[in-house]
Amino acid sequence: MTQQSDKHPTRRLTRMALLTAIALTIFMVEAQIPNPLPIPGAKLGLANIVTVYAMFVLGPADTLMILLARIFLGSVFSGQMMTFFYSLAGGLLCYAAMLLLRRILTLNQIWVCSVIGGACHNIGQLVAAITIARTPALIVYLPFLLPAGMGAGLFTGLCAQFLIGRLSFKK
Amino acid sequence: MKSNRFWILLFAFIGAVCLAAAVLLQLPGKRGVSIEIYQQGALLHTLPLDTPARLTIDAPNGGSNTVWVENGAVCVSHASCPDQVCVNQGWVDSGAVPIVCLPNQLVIQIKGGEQTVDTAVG
Repeated sequence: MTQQSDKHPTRRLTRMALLTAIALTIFMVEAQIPNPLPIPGAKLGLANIVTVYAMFVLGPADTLMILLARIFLGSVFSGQMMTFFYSLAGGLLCYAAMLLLRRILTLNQIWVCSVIGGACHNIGQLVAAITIARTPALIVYLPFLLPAGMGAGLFTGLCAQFLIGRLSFKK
Repeated sequence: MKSNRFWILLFAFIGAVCLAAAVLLQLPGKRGVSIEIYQQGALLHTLPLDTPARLTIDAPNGGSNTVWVENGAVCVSHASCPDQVCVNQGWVDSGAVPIVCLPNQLVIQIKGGEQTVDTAVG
């Protein structure tokens, strides 16, 4: 996939732009839905379907660019720059975890990658919140945020796994 | 395929531990005696819970929160931010979970009850 992309830089750029647009759209639509859980920071994070998909189909470099563009544009459009730091901390930790895991996991275990990624995302957000609010006591939210992240990761991971299976990007 | 079971068990275990800890944290502890209001990690006010009070705290970002103390409990009745997490938390009189307003960097902790973060988690 990557070799093919290198031969077609325009195709690669177009695909990344398209995926960023999809991720941003999902992100903005999801932001309009009220949070059903009384836990701050807990949401499905449907835009991560795109991140997981890109990680397994396009490769790490493209994924990082899609992720950063989505986080930056998402913060600009939602109008809250504080969101940027939380999303960035969570997104990068999630990215790092998935980068390590994608080497040891098969295409049938994408959901595992996403569950751990979701957990890491919420850990990253919590660390950012503790740093910004300078309140270590926020750690009490970890037992709420960790299962929430894992559940959300399971859902988005299965979505991405089915998507990749149906689109059959097999090597 | 065999390792799928391993991952499911691992995740279920972590989830169960977290949910147990979450339930433990939600248990009503001994009622607190006072509250401490922090802004950006610095202590702003210490208020006794048995004296009714109402104060508005301005945040450095231009927002504000209104804190009510009544009948031995505390709540945030108004917040300038869009997510209203601290307002939805309602009245709190005990427990290790603080009231937090992240956009305005405000934290309200209950003091004097038996249950603290250490006893609840450890």
